[in-house]
Amino acid sequence: MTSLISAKGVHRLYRRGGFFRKAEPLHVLRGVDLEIREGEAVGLVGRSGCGKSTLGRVVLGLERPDEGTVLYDGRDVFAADGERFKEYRRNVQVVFQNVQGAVNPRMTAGEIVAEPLRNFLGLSKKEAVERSRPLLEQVGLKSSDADKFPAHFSGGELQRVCIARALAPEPKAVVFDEAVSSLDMLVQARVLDLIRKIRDERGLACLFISHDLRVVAGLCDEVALMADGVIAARERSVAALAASGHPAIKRLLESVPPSRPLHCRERAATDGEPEALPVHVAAGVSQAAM
Amino acid sequence: MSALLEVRDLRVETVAAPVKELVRGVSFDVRAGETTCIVGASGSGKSLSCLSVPGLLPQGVRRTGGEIFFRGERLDDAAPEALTRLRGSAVSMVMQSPMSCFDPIFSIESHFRETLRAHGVRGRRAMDERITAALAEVGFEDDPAIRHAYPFQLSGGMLQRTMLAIALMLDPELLIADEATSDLDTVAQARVLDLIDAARRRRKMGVLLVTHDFGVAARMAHQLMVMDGGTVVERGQVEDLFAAPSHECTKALLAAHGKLCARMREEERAV
Amino acid sequence: MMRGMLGKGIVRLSLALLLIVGALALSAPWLGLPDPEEVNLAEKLAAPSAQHLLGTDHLGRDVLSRLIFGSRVSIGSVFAILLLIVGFSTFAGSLAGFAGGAVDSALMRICDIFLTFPTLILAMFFVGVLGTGLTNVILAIFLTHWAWYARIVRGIVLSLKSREFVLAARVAGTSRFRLVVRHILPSLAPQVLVLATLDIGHMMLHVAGLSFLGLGVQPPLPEWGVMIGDARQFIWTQPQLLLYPGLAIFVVVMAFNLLGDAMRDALDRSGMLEEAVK
Repeated sequence: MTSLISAKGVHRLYRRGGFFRKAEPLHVLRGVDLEIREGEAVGLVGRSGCGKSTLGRVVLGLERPDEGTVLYDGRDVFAADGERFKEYRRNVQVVFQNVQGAVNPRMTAGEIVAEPLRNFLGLSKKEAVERSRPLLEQVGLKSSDADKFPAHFSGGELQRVCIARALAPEPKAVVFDEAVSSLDMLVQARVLDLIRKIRDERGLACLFISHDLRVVAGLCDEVALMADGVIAARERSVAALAASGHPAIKRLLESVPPSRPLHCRERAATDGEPEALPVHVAAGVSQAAM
Repeated sequence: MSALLEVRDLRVETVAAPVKELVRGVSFDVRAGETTCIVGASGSGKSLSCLSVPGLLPQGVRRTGGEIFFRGERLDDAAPEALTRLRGSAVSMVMQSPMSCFDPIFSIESHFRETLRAHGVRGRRAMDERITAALAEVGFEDDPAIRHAYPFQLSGGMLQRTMLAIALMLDPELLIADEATSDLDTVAQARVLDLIDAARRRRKMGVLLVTHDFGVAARMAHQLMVMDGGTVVERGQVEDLFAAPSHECTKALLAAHGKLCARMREEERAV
Repeated sequence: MMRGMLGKGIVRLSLALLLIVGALALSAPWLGLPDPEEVNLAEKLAAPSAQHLLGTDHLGRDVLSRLIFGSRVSIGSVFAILLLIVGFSTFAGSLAGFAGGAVDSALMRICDIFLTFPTLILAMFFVGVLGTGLTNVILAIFLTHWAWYARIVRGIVLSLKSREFVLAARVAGTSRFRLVVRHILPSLAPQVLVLATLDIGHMMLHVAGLSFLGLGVQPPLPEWGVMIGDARQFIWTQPQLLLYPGLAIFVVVMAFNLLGDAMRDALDRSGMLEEAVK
């Protein structure tokens, strides 16, 4: 499989402090190497604040790295001229975490999905909105929803609109930046099914950013663990990553909520005697500062 | 053993016309030393149900029916002063968005002091002792600098632990946690839940936990109540509901939860 | 937003009042009023009569007529100022917020310079440099106020720049220009509008103040501040000459303030304020 997007040695610093006060810059990305091949789904896991979203924004071309390169189809994205950059943009789309914040509340769903169509395909507003209707149907909404405003949609429905927007210009890759993290469990399950279906049907490459291992498991061809500003480990699956034994992955694994109830065992114990906690829970309680 | 908190036939409606019933005929209880979890999708009425207990319903909504018993006494028709005294001391809350619960221009320590002052604790030394103890309980014993920090300097997880510390400081008998971990990542969530559970066991506290995540319910609950569209759909001991759900809604939620958990196990098998 | 605003009685009253004043001001030339600038010393300081409903001033000019024609100047000039300010500040603030870096720093330093001086002093300075007269008053007040608005616009643009819907629009290929017009300005506009409305009263007082000091509108142009200035010498003998324009300013400024407050509350409620500032 050919390499589609390749980040090499990416550094990203955030400068803090104002004119007269020099504060330590925040070194979020410290030399990240990440490759996404055509049609491949790559998961990116790690704690909140470890830089996953920052890397996502760099890959999307929204932020310029302070050092390092991002290659698309073998060519430097940030050194590209207007035409080439536009082609890159068209082929690498995004779905964000904050569903309500990712749409302009004054635009209808049809207009929201139409925006990339107008920009990349040069369609008129009317044509583009008409084109958005079947796109909305493809993500499980109704064609008539194109005329509704974001306020009329639930969180899950609005995220589907955002997915439709991302798919509209027929990109080669989509970055899902914690795209299901703010959704309710049932809604999350349905949206994940939709994403999986789309991936299978279109052979899309994906970068799936998430702090929840369960979401990434079973969806990605490769999973990368981010810690301390670098990709600490990369394996073919979450299970393989777990087996690698990196402390960051252990922490993530231990924090996954259990599938069966815990406390029924407690009731079985004698009254007043604190039950021995299951291992991973006990480890969590005695953990050092977060 | 009579329950610490008993809610019978709760009814919550909107104030403005057209009047909409948001919570209808909801009954549940919380026993001392145990956790009752209310699970449901957004809009199912779970938050409103638990906000009714300390009388903290938001504007535009009011309780129009039902009885609330705390320690055997009626709470729903209690005088406002009595209710105010209970809040923070006997009944404490931890809410979803920690950042919005802190005043950004005041230090963490000021927040603690404010709560202590409101409940009649006086004197710098008395306050300091309680604050130190509270912070230690949530794992900040090695971090004295926390007290002088400002809310924006703390991560979501740290803020939530601080909120828990303030909630536990006055030794409540009932802790209400309304989607307290929904905005946190899994590691922070696990930490906060462990702390709540440990506090529950140590203090024989009752915990009323609202969540949309069945995994959290599995971790924390003794009793489980599933809500949908403002009503209770199913209720009982957590292991009974997991083993044999009877209502469609519960089954759907459990199925989604099961699928999510299965994804990791499937992988393990493949490896 | 409108519905929420008009709920309160006093707001409705203010709006009604302003509409009446506005209607009077616009239709003044056709109301059959006596010429506000016509000097008639024979009838000076006359008491109210059928011909002169509020009497005449020290030059025999009809007071009511001067009040109504004066409103065109007093209120009209403020709207001209606001148009200039909103237009220019939105442009400057958006440029600073969007471009960032050196452009932003340079513009902000310029703003700082303008903001250092107390407004009335600065206005007097500009009038001193530019000369008196209505146009120069308008320019002077514009120059003293634009910097404050530019800063606010810049702040809003900065906070909006990093919001997901703007990022999403960038990824969707939206050009920078379209980004500003379609995504940023609509969130910006209500904010700035409310601030401007709240400021109308304040600016009217500036225009009137400068005119009162003789630095602004020159006779015989009717204007409320000038009327107060002229009537100063008659404060003990004909206090109503001071009272009428004074009351007019007071009532109109208050009405605009109440309206601005209501608009801001409505904006707050509808969450647009939060959304733009978050």
